[in-house]
Amino acid sequence: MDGALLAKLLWQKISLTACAGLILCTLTAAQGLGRYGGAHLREPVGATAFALGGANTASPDYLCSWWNPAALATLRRKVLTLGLGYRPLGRSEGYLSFEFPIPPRVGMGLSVLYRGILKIDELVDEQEYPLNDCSYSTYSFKIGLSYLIKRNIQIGANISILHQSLPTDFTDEGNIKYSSITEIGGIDIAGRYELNKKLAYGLVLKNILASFDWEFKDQYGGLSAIMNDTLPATLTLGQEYTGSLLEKPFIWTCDLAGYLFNGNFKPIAHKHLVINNGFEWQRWELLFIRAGIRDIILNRDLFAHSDRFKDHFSLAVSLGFLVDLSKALKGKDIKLNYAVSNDKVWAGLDQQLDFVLKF
Amino acid sequence: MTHGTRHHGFLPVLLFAGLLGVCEAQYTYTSEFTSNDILELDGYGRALAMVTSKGFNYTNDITRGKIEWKGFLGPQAIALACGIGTALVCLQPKTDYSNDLFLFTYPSTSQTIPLAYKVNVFLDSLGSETPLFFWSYDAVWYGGSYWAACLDGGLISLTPPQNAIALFYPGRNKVSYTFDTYLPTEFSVFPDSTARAMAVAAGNNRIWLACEQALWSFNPIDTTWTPINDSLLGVDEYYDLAVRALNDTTTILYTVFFKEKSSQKTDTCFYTYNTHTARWHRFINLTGTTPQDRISFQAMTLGEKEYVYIIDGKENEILLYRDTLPDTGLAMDIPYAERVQTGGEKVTFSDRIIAVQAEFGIDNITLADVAYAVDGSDTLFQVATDKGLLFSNNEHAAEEQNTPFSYEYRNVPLAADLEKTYAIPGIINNYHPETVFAYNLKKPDEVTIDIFDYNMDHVVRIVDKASREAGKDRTSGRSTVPKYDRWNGTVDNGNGRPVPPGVYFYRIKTENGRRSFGKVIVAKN
Repeated sequence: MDGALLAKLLWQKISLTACAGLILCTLTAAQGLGRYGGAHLREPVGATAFALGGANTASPDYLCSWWNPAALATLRRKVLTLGLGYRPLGRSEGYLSFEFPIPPRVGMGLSVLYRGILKIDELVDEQEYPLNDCSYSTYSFKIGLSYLIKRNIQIGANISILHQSLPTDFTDEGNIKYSSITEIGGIDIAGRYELNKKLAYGLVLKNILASFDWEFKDQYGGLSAIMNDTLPATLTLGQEYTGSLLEKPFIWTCDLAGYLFNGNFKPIAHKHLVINNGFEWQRWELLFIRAGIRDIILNRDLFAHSDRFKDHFSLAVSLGFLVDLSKALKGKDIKLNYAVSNDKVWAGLDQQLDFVLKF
Repeated sequence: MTHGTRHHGFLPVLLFAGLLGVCEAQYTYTSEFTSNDILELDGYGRALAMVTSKGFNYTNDITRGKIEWKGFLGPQAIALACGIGTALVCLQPKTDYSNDLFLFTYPSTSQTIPLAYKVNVFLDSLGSETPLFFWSYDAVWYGGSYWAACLDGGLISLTPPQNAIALFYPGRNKVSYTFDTYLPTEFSVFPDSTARAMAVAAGNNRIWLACEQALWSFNPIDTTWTPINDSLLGVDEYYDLAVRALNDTTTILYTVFFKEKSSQKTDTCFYTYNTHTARWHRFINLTGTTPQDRISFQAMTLGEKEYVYIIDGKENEILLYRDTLPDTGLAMDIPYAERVQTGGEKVTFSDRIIAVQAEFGIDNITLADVAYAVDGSDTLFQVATDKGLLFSNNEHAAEEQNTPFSYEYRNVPLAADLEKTYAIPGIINNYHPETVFAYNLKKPDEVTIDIFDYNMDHVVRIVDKASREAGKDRTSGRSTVPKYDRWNGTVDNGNGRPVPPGVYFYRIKTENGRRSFGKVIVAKN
């Protein structure tokens, strides 16, 4: 049996296992993911992925270390990304990544993501006196490495460093006391497979061994509580189909993410499946149009008891575009991506904007 | 007066250098109640000053129909004295090892904002690498000056309006030092770590100082000290002190001290002392109480009767004792060895307080302090609680006559129609295990409250289409129903596990389509 056939069989087994797991989780009782840790990691990163409804696992164009580190081995040039995001209720974000090939078969990526609330100014104490302004900040560093097994098969892995700083207590004078946590963990294992020129698949197991071991400080600097917060692991199967629409290039991407167990491989109480879909149409040479539907939660309870669980079914619809600035910038390969989406509870619009430089 | 958490393990310390200056940096002026959680009171005539957990307040006329409150939001004080148009507030030192005394001046007609003068009394350690905090536990206004009992055993006098400061130490028959002539080397002999001054009172032209294990009488005219013999009382630690002048030559001291019964238990002992006969007798013992229990008392005169109000923090009630001794002859030689309880008629005030609670709709009130003052024919009586101020301008001590109470507390208006909402408090942790969502509706409606995480994934529904009335403010009633509109930071708002630490968002929505979002932070286990 040659290597290609072995890889193909292996890939099929992995895919079948993933599909079986994803289908299984739809048969279990489920509620939203709001009860699990790592909420700040679940929103799509990057204006492209955001516009595509978070369906970006099969063939990420950039931020590969975030979406699918296996894709790093397909890089032919260095990629530098700088992006910003704003979300309703004061949430903001910023991200930076640098990815580069290490010929002939290796790719590497580094990325950092900030998410948080720069100014929380509406908190009050137990007597309704305003507390001083405070902030919530998270930083996620990822280092990814990928290896090209064959032209159409890549594997990769990530390791994360996660940091959070959270207001956890207040003094009688309204001063805020913070607790912070930095953890090394959150391993991602990934694979990517190009079936042909039209179809590509990605499979990523995220957040293995990811947790936050909090030690809360009280207003006197003492220890008031300890809490181990283990993040749920995510098994994501992504697919990208490349075709044409009105004789223009058209891409359909789809991610199926299953939440089955936590980072320590213990089953979580409410398993469920999330489907994300995205579309990209290269209507003009320098302008791509994108759209997506994100966080379609599949679970039998949503259908059997929709009156109780309809609030868990809170999908998001996104729109976006890509502008190729290379002609305007005299040959430099710079692209601008922008995306806008509702935030699932209709408190406002999420927005992301980034610049991608390839050199 | 109420004493806060005590600082034991005191090592020799030395104070010094005084500085006067206008300083509002630590305080923010307000014309509202700084907090409904009132810790300490002191009255003088119609004036009343109070320490709250958020600062302090002052009014120059508690009898006015609409009381005009002035105050400052800021650090919590541990001692308070009320004078004429002024109040002295003693802060607990924080990080600068200095005792901050704030002299608060009530505004004259030409002023709208009161003045707060900060008096810094710096502390140096005597050979210790870790300087200890220094503070004043008690203060009193007398003879145009404030007198503050200092933790190092000294007595500070502060005389407005020039704010002259002097420092005296028990046993030294002279003005020990003024800050202008302070010489640090002379203080190498001080302090005596057993001589902490715990309480100060004034009467009959003398200042009475209760040090930890000794009582002193100080004459401010000739600055002489006189010790009071209490060698047979078995005092472990004096805690509080009050005096009443019976006549020019006789002063009654009411003292409170702790006496250890065993290694685990102590008694809080209330004794009186007649300066004329130099005799002690026991007034009452609160057995089994500890220095950590909130015990405070005030002595007062109504007509020719002597009364003592005792706040028993352990039982959360006010005891009123009418001292019958003046009638029966306080000068009688009652051997303290007999331990005869001679305290007279006891009235438990808590029944009245409960009636007041019912009248004003207050729940679970905790009593903190009492104050009284006599102004002409009016007897002004105030009770500090953790839910506001109860006060009477016509106190009836007799049990058969109910004291007519009024109720003052801070009311917080909230915009109607969900225009302004918040979670009280905004941080859920092990000290504040629940939060209540405060909101108002213009019209009765059905309300649904949901919690979402940072990614706007649903966490838990708090109430589902619950009927709520129109609301206005805390006094008149809000739309919030605290019993139900609350979240304990768990996944099921019940006994489930706490949600992961982080920022969460609540959404309050009504059936007519109004919505409001807000933040609440969870950090508990």
